[in-house]
Amino acid sequence: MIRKFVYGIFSVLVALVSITAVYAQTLTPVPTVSAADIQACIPQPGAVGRFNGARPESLVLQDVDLLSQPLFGTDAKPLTLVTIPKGARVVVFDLDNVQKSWYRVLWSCDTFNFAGWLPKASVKFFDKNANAKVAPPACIQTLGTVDSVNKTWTSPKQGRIAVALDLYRKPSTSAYPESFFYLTRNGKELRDKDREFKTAGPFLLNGMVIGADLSKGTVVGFEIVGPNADKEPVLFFATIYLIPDGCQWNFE
Amino acid sequence: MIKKSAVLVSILLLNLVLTACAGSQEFNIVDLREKLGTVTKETTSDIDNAKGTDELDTNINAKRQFRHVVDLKLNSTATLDESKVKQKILDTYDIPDGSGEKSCIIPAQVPAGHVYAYDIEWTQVIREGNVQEGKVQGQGNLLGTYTVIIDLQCQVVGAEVRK
Repeated sequence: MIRKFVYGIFSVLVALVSITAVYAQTLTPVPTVSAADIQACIPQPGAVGRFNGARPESLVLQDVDLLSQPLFGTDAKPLTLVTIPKGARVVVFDLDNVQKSWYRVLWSCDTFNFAGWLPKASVKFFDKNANAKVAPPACIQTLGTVDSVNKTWTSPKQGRIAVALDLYRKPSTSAYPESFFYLTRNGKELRDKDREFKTAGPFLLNGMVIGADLSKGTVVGFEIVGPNADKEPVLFFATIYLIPDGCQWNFE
Repeated sequence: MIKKSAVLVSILLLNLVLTACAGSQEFNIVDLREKLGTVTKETTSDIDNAKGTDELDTNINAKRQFRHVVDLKLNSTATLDESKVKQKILDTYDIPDGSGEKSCIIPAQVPAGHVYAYDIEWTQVIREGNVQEGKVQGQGNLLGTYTVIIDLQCQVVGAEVRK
């Protein structure tokens, strides 16, 4: 009896370790940020916004977890990207199309940036100023994030992925000329997935979602083609999701 | 005299036949991709929070009219009625008539004691594609290419601090 009990406990432990190992293998770590850097990103009252008025920068009313996808019911399993402290300022872009209770925001700071979803009650903003957005559904699995166009990401699985990204720059007096953004797969541009942009403003691409089919081990990269590609630094945050069979996300 | 009349009638008949033939060639529209077109800018009127003690959050309603211009380039071998092709292109994109209006709500945030004006950028959104021979989409010889302005996108690119 005791032997059976011990064997049972041992089996459960092995199973838990296996699940943890598989889970760890399928996720790329989210960048960690020091407490000092987080605090440094809380602006002083009356401080000038980062984007020269191009978008309002709204007050965060309480400490809030920024998630990789809205928490729609118990099926959604988002990653917690970072905890945004009360008093920080975020740019609100979108309102989810399902519950209408989640904002998609960009939190941009000197040494880091994140884009993700948070409960709208935690930000001082009006729904009517947000765009309706087809949010990642609960069945989506977040695989990881990338915080630079110069970084790559290796797929741990075969399947269909979606990359949700924001590309932007510091305010400039000159226009960003006509350019193209590509996902690359093992170094090759996915030419049918390109996105064109040109603007005098700071936001080059926001909330763009691009899908691709990958094999396990495929290296995904990001490329900008245009006159300023090697001259002007850009800021970037992407979240990569797996769309399991039977799951649908109508982002196109 | 009779000869001249006969020639004139023949020319007239030939014209009628050619007109009837033009546009009888079957064609289909194949959408290929989206592009960005011309960018124009405007500046809003002042949003005055000079006497305010708190940040002013308000909305600016910007509107712009535009035309759904179709730029059609048919091959010399195509015997198509241009106006019919253009109409079919507009129908493909559910564009009911030649002109449109875009509205943008711009959330404005003016700190206390300041007056801002916002620079808005309007960018044409264009679809381009092919005109191909036949009824079945994507098949058939290439008869021409087109672009059509389907929308405008607006973005605030910055704020001018007037005070």
